[in-house]
Amino acid sequence: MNDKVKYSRLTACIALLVFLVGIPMASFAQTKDKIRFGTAIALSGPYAPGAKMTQTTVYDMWVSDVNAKGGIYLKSIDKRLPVELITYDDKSDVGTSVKLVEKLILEDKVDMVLAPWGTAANVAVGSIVNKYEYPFVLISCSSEKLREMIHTMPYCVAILNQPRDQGHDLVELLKEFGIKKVAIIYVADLHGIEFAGYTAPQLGIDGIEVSILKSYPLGVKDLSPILKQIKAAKVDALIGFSYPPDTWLITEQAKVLQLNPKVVYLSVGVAHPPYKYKFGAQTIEGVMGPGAWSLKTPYPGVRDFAERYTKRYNSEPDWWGGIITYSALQVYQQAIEKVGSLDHKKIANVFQTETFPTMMGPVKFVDGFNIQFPGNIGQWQKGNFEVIMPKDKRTAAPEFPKPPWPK
Amino acid sequence: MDLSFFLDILIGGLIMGGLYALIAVGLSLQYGVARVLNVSHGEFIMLGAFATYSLYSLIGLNPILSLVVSGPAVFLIGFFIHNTLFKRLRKLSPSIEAFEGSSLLASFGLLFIIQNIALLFYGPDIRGYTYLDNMVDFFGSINAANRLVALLAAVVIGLVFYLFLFRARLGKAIRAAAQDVTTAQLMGVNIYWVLGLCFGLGALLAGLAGSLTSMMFEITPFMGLPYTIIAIIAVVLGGLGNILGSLIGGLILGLIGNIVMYIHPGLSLIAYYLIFLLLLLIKPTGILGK
Repeated sequence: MNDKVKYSRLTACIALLVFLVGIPMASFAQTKDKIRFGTAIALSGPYAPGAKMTQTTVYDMWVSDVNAKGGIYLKSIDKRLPVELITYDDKSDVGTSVKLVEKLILEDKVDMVLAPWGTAANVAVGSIVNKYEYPFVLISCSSEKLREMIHTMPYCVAILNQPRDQGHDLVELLKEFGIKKVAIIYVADLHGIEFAGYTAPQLGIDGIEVSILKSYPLGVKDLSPILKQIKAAKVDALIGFSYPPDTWLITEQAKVLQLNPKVVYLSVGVAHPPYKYKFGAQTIEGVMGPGAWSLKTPYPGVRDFAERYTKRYNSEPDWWGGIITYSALQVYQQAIEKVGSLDHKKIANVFQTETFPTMMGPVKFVDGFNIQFPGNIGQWQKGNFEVIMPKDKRTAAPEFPKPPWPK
Repeated sequence: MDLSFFLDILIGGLIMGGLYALIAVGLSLQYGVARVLNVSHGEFIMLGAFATYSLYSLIGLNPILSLVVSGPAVFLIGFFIHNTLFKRLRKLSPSIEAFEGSSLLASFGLLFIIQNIALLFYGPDIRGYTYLDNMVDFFGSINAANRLVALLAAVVIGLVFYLFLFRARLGKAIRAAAQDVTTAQLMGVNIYWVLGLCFGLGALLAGLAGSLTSMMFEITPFMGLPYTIIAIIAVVLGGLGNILGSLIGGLILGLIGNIVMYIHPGLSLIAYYLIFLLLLLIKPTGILGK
């Protein structure tokens, strides 16, 4: 072996040694200079539209808001640290969400994990972060099945109103209006099946006739056959537990058929701005849907949030989930500030015990579930999505009967 | 059972069947002649839908008039993709079977590319507009005006296409290439030009179908794949490579789907796949397949 080779090999070994030892030592010497949040959420695929509207836009806005004030204050180091958000695309696939969240925890070493979009993804990610003992707020998760599982996930809390809250208020509302006969159609997916499964029997118990109860497949392109049957049955209320494509389809086809029951309640998508942008305020006047919050929701920051969101994203916020997501982030921040550090166990404990003043009102988790909401049902009135249930949260009197669809 | 009920089923079935037929014939042209099983077919539908949506929201262009823009635009994209991608693959492939395999994989990649370009450009938001969503009463059968217009447009496009295939010289060249590529070449047909034309025409039909669906359904960058699946079923149903067969396949799917809707809406998806399975058991080559 000649001298040149020996020399370059030695240099390489020294360089490697410096690299392997030096870098970790350097980062050890570095103090914590930011709080890292991470999320794996649908930036592409069928869940992307909902995820963008309800969560990703709100996450980004919150990060800007917090950093504009210098960040979150940590008492333990007497410093305000800026927030950084790492967002990965889970391509609307739950398996990918889980894998990416593990990457965020193990490789990116984030301090906190933010929820993905959709019930299935929230539950799956919740289980994983619970295993790694990260405090976690489930956001776009609505299923009574969660109630069976939450006690196995002590680090997790759920902030959104659940089927039993909204289903209950829907039944109460129909009773208030003196509705006697309803038609229920629902998408053959967990959401539709759960809601129909709760509401139909409950209506029966309360003496309201469910004269039609039919499911339809995801991606259906023509519901006029069933809507014609419903028109012939002369029901007082049309209830659809639907996803945005079917919510749009039912609205358009009911309008064409001039199917005008006194109440039209459709599900996912009603509270979303694209619904108003597609049909116009006049067409959707009187349509009810789950939610809900409005500009009149009486907690600090609501109107400001809505106005800033509209300006930043050139669209109204989501009247179903907008402030729910922001409130979840406020919960994270308030918990961190209360504990004074990023200690996961202490923060998880604070989640379960404290009350958090947020945009959606005082958030308090009992047995893992939030017990107070700005609204369960909303109704489009003159271009505004007003809260009409529960009664004590009404921002406007319900419009009953619904005016007929414009011709 | 009165006339209006019968008309309800027939017209409703023809509306969806007409759309499916357009989409299926497009795919059949691409597979039957250019031998590309184009799984990104639905993405060209999506491009047509976005083109019409953009023209309607930006300059208020009538969706029917926008067909004149969206069709040729998507045709050019399809033609260009064939001449840069598939023509090269074909020249490099040792056999037609090898080409079919590699072009299928290439079209799979194309699916993601087109989808993500649309996503970058438009964002994932769900969009839509309303056009002619009023009632038309035809002998007691009530249908949306936009759906009837879509049916009429599909029929007109189909007729024009039929005349082109059977009267125009270029149409003859396409039919020749569909029957036997080598012999057509020997008879003086400029084969790569014709293959590119077929692929482009298939894309054109998809783009036109997309423009029509944009009047009735939601528009997102991810709307294409379900249509691709229906097109594949219709093409296999009608007989691989047979253009008339795929038209019939599309019509059957639309009609049967609608009939089942009246019995129980939840069964319509099952009905599609049952028809498919039954047909493959009875006549695996498809209705008009050899």
